[in-house]
Amino acid sequence: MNSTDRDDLQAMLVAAVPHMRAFAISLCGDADRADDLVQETLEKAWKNLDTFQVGTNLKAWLFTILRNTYFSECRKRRREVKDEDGSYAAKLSVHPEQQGHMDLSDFMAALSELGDEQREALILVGAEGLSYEEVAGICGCAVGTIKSRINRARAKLSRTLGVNVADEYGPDSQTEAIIGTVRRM
Amino acid sequence: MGTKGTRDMRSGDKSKDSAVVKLDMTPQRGDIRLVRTEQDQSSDAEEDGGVPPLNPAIQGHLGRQLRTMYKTLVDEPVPDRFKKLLDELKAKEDSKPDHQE
Repeated sequence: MNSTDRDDLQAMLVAAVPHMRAFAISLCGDADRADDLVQETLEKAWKNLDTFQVGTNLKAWLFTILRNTYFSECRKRRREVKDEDGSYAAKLSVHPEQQGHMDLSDFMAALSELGDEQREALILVGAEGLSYEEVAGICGCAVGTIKSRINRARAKLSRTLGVNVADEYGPDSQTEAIIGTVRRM
Repeated sequence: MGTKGTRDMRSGDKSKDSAVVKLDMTPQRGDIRLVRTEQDQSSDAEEDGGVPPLNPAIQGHLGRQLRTMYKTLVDEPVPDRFKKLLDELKAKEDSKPDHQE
């Protein structure tokens, strides 16, 4: 890699920071922890910049480093502290002032109820606009696995937000009861 | 409490259960999809995840909300610590004697 390539890549790294932060916050639900993740990712990326294949997707490469860092940290934490579950939703109140709309904070709360793997797949495809193949590469699994995670993520989101049941069958008392139950979960 | 009744009424659960059984019964060696360490492995083997597809209008609605939420995060100003960090990394690299041209 020559120095012009390296300069270009460094400029692209800088440009990718807002996306890395958005992905990290969506993943862990904690702005401070997200910034630590981004910092660690940037340091690792900088050190290994020569291993990046020019012409491939830099953002996908950065997301791979970031999510691997996050998941290995989670495994470490899970060994140390047992009670990791549920903390996402509690911490997610970090950005209420930026939400503005009520439905957006509802949406974020619903997103927080998804498993980490479903959430990351949904964000990378649905919000970052990466292809199923790219996301499968990032997550180190089969394309079918990503499709499956996204389908289940969407189904769970719509149940949590109560949008599909009412739309499909009409808000009769039975479906209302289901929506109510799901909302209380 | 109460979960049993809800469960019976939801049609998606049946297919999900059968996907689990199928996975358990075919633990063939070398099937890469079985070598997973994280949670939520139950119905990954099926591309639809064992759930019926959403109505396109609802899917579009969820997609728009997702992108709107994500955009508010992307649009946040980048904290100074990252500009500083990148400047430091760059300075460190430039001062290396073996810095290649």
